[in-house]
Amino acid sequence: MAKPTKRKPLTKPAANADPAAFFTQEEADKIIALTHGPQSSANPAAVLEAFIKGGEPLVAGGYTVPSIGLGRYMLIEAIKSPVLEPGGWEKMNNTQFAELLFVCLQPEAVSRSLLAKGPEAFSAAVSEHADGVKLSALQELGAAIGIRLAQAFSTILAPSEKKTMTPATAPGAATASAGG
Amino acid sequence: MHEYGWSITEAMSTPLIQAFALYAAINARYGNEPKGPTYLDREIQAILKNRNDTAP
Repeated sequence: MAKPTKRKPLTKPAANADPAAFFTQEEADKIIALTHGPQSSANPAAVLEAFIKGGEPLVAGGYTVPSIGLGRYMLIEAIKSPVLEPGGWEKMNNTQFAELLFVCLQPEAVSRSLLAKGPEAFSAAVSEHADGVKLSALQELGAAIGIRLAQAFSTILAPSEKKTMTPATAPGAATASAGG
Repeated sequence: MHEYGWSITEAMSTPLIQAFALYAAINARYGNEPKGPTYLDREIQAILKNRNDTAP
C-alpha cells in the first residue's frame, strides 16, 4: 500500500491582509446581488439574449444571411425563382441560384433599383456578385437560404402545436410522444 | 425532441445558443449535475474578467 499522502495544512490569511488584493466592495456587491439579490431567481442574462434577440445571426460561406420579410419575398417572386414551387431546389440551375443569392444577400433597395433598370443591369450585378462566391460555399449558402425561408413561414403567433409535458410523466413514457 | 412534440425542421433551425440554454434547463429540471460552468458561474466570471481588464 502506498504511503498515505500528507495534506498541506490550510494556510490562514494573515490578520492584516490587504482586502483590496481580493475583491473590491463593488465587485463583491455585484456578485452578491447575482447570487442572493433580486436577480438571483431571474433568467440569466445570457439566456435572455439568446431568446429575445432571436439567437445568433445566420452566417454561411462568409456572408450573413438576413431573415426574409415580405419585401425580400416579393423580390424572390419578381425574379421568378424556382424556389417558390415544390421541388424547385433540384431544378435550379446556377444562374437562378446566383440571382437568388443576390436577392437574399444584398439589401432590398439595391435589388429593386437594379430590377427597375432592366434585366441586363440586374444580371450584370448578379454576375459581379457571383464572382466573389466560392463554389465550396454553395451548399452552405443554399441551406441557409432554405432555413430563412422555413423561418419566414413558421407561424409564431399561431397557437403552438407542441405537446406540453406534464411533470408527473417519466421521460421515457410513450404516451407523452404519441402523435408528436 | 419527440417528447416535446418538435418537428425536425423546427429542431434543426433552432439556434445553437438557444439549444444549449434549453439543454441546461432540462438537466436542471431532472436534477442532473450541470456540465461545465452554469450561467451563474459565467456571469460571475464576466464580472471578474471585466475587473481584470480595467485594472491598471
